[in-house]
Amino acid sequence: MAEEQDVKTRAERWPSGDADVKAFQKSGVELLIRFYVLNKIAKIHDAKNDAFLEHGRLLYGSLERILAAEDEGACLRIRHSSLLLNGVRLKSHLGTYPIFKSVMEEMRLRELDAVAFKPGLTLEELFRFMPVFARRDKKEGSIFARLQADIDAADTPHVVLEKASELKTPSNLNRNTARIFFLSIVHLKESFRRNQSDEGIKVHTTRRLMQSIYNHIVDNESFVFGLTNIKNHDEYTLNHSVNVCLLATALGRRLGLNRGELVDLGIAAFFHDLGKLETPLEILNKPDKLDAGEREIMEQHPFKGAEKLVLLKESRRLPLRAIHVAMEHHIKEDLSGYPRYYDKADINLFSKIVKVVDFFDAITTKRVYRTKVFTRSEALSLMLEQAATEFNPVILKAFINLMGAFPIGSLVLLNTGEIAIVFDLNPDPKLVLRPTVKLITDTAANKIDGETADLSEKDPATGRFARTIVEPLNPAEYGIEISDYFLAQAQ
Amino acid sequence: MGTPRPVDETASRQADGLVLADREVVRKAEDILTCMANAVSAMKLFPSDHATVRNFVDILSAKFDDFFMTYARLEVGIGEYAFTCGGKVVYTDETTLKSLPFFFFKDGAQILYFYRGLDRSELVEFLELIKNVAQKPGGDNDIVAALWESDFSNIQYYSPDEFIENQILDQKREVQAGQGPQDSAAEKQEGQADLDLPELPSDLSHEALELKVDLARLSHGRIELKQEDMAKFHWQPGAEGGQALPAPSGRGPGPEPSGGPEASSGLTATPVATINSNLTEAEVRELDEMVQSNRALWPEEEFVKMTAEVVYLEADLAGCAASIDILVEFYLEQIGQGQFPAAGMIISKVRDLKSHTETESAGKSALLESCLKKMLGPKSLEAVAAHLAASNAVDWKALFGFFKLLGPSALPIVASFFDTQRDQAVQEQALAFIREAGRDNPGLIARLANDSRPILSREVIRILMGLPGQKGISHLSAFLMFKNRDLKLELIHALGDLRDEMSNKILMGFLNDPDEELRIQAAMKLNPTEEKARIVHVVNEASGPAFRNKSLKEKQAILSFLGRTRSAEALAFLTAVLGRTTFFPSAKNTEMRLAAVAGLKNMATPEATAALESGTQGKGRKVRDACAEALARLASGPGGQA
Repeated sequence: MAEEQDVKTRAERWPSGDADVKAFQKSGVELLIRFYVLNKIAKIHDAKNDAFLEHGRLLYGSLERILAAEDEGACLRIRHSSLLLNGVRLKSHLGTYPIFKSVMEEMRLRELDAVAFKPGLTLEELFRFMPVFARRDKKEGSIFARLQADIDAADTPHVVLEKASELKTPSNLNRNTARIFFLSIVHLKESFRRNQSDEGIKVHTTRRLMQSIYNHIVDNESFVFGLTNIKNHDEYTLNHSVNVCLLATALGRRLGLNRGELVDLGIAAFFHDLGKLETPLEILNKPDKLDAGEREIMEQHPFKGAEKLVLLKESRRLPLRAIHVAMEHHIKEDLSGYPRYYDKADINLFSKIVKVVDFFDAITTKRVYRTKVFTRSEALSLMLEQAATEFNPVILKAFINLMGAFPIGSLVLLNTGEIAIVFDLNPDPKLVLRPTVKLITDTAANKIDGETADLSEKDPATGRFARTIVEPLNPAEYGIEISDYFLAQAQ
Repeated sequence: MGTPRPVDETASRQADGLVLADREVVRKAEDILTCMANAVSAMKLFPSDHATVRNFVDILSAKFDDFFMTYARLEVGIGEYAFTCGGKVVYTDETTLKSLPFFFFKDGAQILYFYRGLDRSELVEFLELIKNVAQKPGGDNDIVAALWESDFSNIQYYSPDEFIENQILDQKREVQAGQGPQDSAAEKQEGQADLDLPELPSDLSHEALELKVDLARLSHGRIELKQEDMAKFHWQPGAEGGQALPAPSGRGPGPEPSGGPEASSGLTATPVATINSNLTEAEVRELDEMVQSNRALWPEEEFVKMTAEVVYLEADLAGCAASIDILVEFYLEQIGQGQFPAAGMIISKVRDLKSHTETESAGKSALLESCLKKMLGPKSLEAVAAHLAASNAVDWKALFGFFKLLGPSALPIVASFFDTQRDQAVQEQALAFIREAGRDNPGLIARLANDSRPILSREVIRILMGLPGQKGISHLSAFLMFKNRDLKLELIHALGDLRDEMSNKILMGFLNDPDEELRIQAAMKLNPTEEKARIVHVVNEASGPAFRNKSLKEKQAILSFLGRTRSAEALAFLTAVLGRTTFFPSAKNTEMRLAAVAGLKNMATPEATAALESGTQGKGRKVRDACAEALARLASGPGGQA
């Protein structure tokens, strides 16, 4: 099956315009959700299970409606990190995002670009197809070839699979992502230097960089989150600013900001601590508590940062919100913090987003003045306690939802005695405590280059989960550089 | 393209049934790209709805449709000055300034993909984007950035990360070159010392990233659990995964709250692991509203919010004044650009800020007060006038919204375009504004009226007459100086209906008007007054020699007014005038006596009747007849009065 079979022009298909397109997209999202649910059920239950049969009928109902209207069938396709149904892009929002992500991941795992259901599809055929599709395949070699053979054997002539045409290996992808991460630091360092020597910051370059970062977040979100575990203590502000930029962009994307807004948010987060250039290093790095005078200087940095951005030679190219964020990222939800605004309504949404991720990255980073470095889970727990006063509660909740109970990069102890690092979240909201982890020790505490294990996998013999997280560990206490394990994936 | 990444070209060509030497594809691509270049050129010259542009776009769209009849995708390679397809050059243009391939090439695009599904509207959007970006100044005319933001469904591009990488590294190198070799080396050393990060290749950007991760270290050695962590973990060799394990922190295995995460046996509960972080529908809605309202914020609004907070935070009054000046300047700019809602918002924000600073800083509050004065002052009105003069499309609704904030100070400008705007809706809005502003400022309204704008002046009369408590009447005296006869006449009639002292006073003023007819009408409309001084004044006027020179009609009108006062002074005067005879026949004296008859008839009292009866016996036939006629009228009842 090639792509030409599933696309008509918009005008051909929907002569009456946008309302029809939106209705089709709605049907498409419904189809996607039902496909997602049935796939989940098929992984756990066999084809005779009541839940499987019930949700199979629901999916078939959705397909029937689409097949009745579309001569060419219903073709679900991944194109450049978007999901398309018959050539029409399906749009996710905050609620459906994990479903989109999961379906795309399931297709990628099977080396698929497209799954098409053709007219003539029967319910029985769908019942035969889904268990084959849902089956886990960890054997070496082409997953697609085996899946295609199984599908052929299952006699499902009205389901057509298309092999992924674009070849990309995770290591290439990870390497490129890591490269963008370090380039961001180089660019930020260069921008800071330019600013100090009164030269113009290359905002245009920053904008292009943000677009690239967005692309990597879309393509490789888990690895990007992994990279935010890189904590460079000497160049704290640079490293921290890049982490905040990545996390803010990811959170903004989850909140439904559009591409233009996400680039602006990224730029704003990137430069949010520009004012620290004016703060003496002996204050920034003072191990003891700051005295009143030092605190006053420290608390000037948002104001100074905003001032610097205003005075930039290229300020015209800078989103105004970057100035807001520089100024407002330490203002608390209850208007305490600094600086002291008089009107809560003046605080920009971007500042509230950056406030959350800035806090998270800061308290998970070792600093000379910080007696305790929080683990990522502890950090989220602490933030949760301060939800009402410190953060916008809903944005914080969205962030916790994005990061998961065990954020990527968390060091965890498993009930098997193995120690592991969380590498990916479980997209199923009901299985948030069962992420995918990389095993870094065996059961006898020996370091290993272990496999990547999905903690939602069950032992077929017992029907129980094979591994379970017992507790999060603090990597600082074990001298473990979490970021090394991610960077190793990029080599 | 959503995600630029290297494409396995062979695979993609095979998937689409393309082969390198497919002449048909190359020929069609040639056609399409030539036509596209023509369409773009035409769009740069003519507006989008111009026939030439439409024609080019139609042809281009038809060519794409034809191509997609056979193929699913057109992949176009981008060279410095050439487009390629299937390895063949299909279009070239080496004039850097207008070359379409170069336009994409300069920003790092290497491949353009056009997919089946591309329709005319998306194609037009794409062409418009090229046109718009091309017209932007250098630095802003990045077509790749614009394509990325547009996120077309059926037009994608490939631009490798190396492009941005080169830019960043080039910028770094520029600095190093500028610093000289020694500085550069120092910088490098310093960089290595203070930036403990994997080293980036210093020259060629396509080199692989050299990461300094010691892989061996990751997989050799042991990680011994600390005592306290070990204590939490009671692993039992041989136990199956997922079996319930003790929960040291007190949280036992069991079902999560409804909708929460699945029970993780033996998990040490951190608060974040126990909550259901899935957003409720209400929370999703709340977030969506936040995003939408943030999206709806104008940049101007954001700037003002920021500046207001800066003013609030600024402790130094001089710094504060500087920020306020910027705000005022920005405000005037907004007006000049016709951004009246933004200008209005600035006024509101400054007022709000002032209320916050009043108790905290008298100095700041005074600065803000002065800022408000500037904002509501003549410069704003000048800026509005300049905008109105320069702009063809005025957002009247927004403008009147802004005027509301300006208040009465906007009255002159509203008045100035009331007469000039033919649009009835605009006139109605202007009138509504004048009426509203006039409620508390009748004097300002009155000042709007003048001879050169009769329509507005007429409206002003109506507004002032209609103000509650007749507080607008006194301001109508301004019309005494007008030259417009119709206007004054209208006012005289309106005032005559009011029957109050102030109206009478103004009507009295009209008795001195140069226009006789107006004087007559004013006299006729004068209401009887009990104020002796005013009666005596009229009597004195009527006794003077100038009065004798007035026409009979005017004399009658004035003396009729005196008659209507039914005052003793008037009776005495009228009786005396009626009885006044001259040795030689005098037409003017006869007119005076006839006017006195009219006055007495209007007086209609027994004394007046007696005087008239006496007049029937007096000298002069005209006067006698007039007296007889007046008596007959009086006898016939109240309706008989003149």
